[in-house]
Amino acid sequence: MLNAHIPLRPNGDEVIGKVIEGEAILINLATGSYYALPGAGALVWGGIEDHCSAEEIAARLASQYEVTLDEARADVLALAGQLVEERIALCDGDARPPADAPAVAASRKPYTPPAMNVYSDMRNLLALDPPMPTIDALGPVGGNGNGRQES
Amino acid sequence: MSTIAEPDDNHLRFDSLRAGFARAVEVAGSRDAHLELAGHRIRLRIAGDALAASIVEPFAHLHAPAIGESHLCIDMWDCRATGIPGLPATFAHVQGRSWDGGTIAASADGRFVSHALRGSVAWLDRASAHIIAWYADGTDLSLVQRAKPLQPVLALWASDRSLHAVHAALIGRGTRGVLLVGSGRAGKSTTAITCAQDDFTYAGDDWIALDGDGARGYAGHSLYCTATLEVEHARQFADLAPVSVAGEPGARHKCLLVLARRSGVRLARSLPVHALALPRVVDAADSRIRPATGAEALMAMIPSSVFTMAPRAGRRDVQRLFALCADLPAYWLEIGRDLRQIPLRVGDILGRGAAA
Repeated sequence: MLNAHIPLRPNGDEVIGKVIEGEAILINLATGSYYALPGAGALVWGGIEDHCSAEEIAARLASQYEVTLDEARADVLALAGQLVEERIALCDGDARPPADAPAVAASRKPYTPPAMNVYSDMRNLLALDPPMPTIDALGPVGGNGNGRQES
Repeated sequence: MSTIAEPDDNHLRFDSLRAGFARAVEVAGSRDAHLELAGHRIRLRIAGDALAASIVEPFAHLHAPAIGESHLCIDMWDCRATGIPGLPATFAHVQGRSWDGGTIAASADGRFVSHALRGSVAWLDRASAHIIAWYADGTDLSLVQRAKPLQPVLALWASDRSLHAVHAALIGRGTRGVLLVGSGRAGKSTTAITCAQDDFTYAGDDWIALDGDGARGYAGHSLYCTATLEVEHARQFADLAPVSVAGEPGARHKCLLVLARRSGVRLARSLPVHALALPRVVDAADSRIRPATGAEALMAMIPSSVFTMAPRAGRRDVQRLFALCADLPAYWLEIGRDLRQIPLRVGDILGRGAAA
């Protein structure tokens, strides 16, 4: 079980993510898995991008959704545990007191616990021996230094 | 056959390839062509008539006048026709296999990259922008070799110029384009070819080089004027003279269509991309469109455009995909049984994009 007061951060070496129209889409370039976190899950990911702890993310959830802090904390810890297990998020340092809780929104949204959809259909391609390398693995061009030309 | 020395040093090895091509030209002459891709001038030289006949065709729409210095030189030879053997790809620093059975390998400094596929090896010197390739037998090319020659090394060359290869088709009207995205068998090719037979411009199927960003706008650049279709689907496009060609070992048998062969088809080298369409075949009489979210568009693109390209997409490429899906309107294109409705619905997408 994660400590609710330890800050979290994205595993930036392997994962790229973006929130598009309220849904976080995450890709693990190392494993071939990709993930969708709709609704409250996108807010959880936003908190991880901000290096928040589960406690701080739960406070954000409770400020925007019709949910108690205790319920939000339990849900965030469950999802954060999954994210850490999948190596999408990492624990970032030692436990710390939570930042000030955000103001509660005037009109909170109906709450559905944050969840993550996992897509692992491309993992078999990365199981090829050896798998096709990424463009990044080939590196910038060597030789005379005529590397990638930025547009 | 005569032999070529195999030096250890990568530069000498590339020089040996260069010498091999020169000797092949001495034997068989070369067919030369000048192409233009995304504003980059390319000089293509092929020694061996059979190989040239197959390789030049997919690039037919990119032909351009020979003006000024080339930004990329491509030299290829047919070992059987010329008697000049090729060199094996021996890089060990970075190696990987692609879904089609090909192998990509790179030198330790990343300068030299090779792609070996079914009796052929293509080498790219990224520093000098020079591709040299040899084919064991120019009369015996597989579907991928005929439909998308040199794809991995061209994708890497393009990536070095901030052009990101995506698995998509691109069609348009006037100066407005729709990028058709999704995994294999979603209906991209059927949509693109059906529209090309209507009054749309066809810029490509399967492999589009993406350029630009949200501020400047996005553009898609065509490399090949070919499409590949399942045999049973190709029957619907008999006037495009589909040719059945064996796939790579273990791959499905498909048909090759060369759009340049039909005079009525309008081919484009590039099109601005104004909207994304996500085709999918549905069990219904009619075709229809409905809005898709940017996340849905991204999820449709991820499997093939991030993980199956050779080489696989890098971080910058993925970030561009994220931005593309966040910036452009996206629509589900549900393909019913009446294929004649497809151009109407794609036209609707362009109309909505224009209104927005």
